[in-house]
Amino acid sequence: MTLDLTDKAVLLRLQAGFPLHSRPFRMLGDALGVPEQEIMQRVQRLKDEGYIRTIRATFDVERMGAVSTLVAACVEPDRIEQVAAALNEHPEITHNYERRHHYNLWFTIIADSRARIDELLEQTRGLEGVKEVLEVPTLRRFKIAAVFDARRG
Amino acid sequence: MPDADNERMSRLRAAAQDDLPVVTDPFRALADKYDVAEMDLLEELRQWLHDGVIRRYGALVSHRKLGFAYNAMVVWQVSAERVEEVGRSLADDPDVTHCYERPPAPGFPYNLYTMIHTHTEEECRHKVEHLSATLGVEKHEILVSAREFKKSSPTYGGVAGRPPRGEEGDLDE
Repeated sequence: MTLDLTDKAVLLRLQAGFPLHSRPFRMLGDALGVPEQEIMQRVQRLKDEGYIRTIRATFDVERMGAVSTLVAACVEPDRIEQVAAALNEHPEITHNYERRHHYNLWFTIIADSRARIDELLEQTRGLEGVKEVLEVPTLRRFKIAAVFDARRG
Repeated sequence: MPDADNERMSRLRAAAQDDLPVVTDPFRALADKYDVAEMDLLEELRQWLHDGVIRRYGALVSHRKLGFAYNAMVVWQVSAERVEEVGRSLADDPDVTHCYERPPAPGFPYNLYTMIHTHTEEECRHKVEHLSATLGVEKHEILVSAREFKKSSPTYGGVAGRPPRGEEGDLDE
C-alpha cells in the first residue's frame, strides 16, 4: 500500500492534536475537507497495515509517581547476552540496547521508587561480566513524544 | 480518596490507555467498555492533557513503516552556559525525535542526548555534521545500536488498576 497525501495528513493529525470530542473523526474530516466515513476508512486501513500501532493516551509516568533513569554499562562482549537476559527479567527495565561503544549496553529503568532503582543498579554491578555502570538520569527534557511526518523525505 | 473514587479513576485511566476503536463515537464505545460516562472520560482526558499528566493523546505510529528506518543515539558535549540554547536548537530539528540533558560523567563527558531518526545512515551522518557545524558543537559521538534486547511499554507497580503506559519512544529505536 502506498500513502497518498491525505493519508499522510491524517497520520500527522492523528499523532498531534487528536480531537478529544465525541465525534473526533468528523472533526478531523472537517479540518481536512474529507467526509467522516472516508476518514474512518483511511484510519482503519492505516491500522490494519501497521502504520498506526494504537491510538491512546501516553501518560507522563513521573507525574504518576514513577522514577526513571538511563543506565550505560560496559560489559565483556562474550557476556553481554547473559547480562541483558538477566536484566530483562525485571519489568522495570523497559528498553535495553547493545551499542557499538565502550559503554556497550544501554537500558532504561522505570520504577516506583528511587530505592528500587538503586537496588537494580546494585544488582547490575554484581552481574558477571559487568565492568562498569554509569547512571545518566534525565536532568531536563527538551523534546519527547516525537511526531513523525510522513510527508518529509 | 474513597475506594469508589479510586476505582472509578482506575477505570478512566484504563480507558484512556486502551486502543481507541475506529467508530463514529469512539469515546462512547470506550466509556461503555469501562463503565464510565463518555462526558466524564472526555473531560478527564482534557484535564489530564492540560495538567501534563498525559503527554499526548493520539496515534502511536510505526516509524519504520513511515520510512524512518535508521536511527542513532547522538550525544553532545556542551558548556554549561550553552546547554539550554543548544538543547532547544537540537529539539527544533525535525529529525531529532528526543532531546534530554543528562549529567556528564568522568570518561563520558556528554551532557545532551538526542535520538535522531532518518531514512538512511548517510542522511543521519549528514544531519549530525550539519548540526555540529551550525551549532558550533564539535565534541559529539554517534552511538549506533547493534541489537535490541528489550522494548516494552513502561509499567510499574504502585497504582491500582492497569499501570499507566508511558511514552514507548523514550529511547525508541
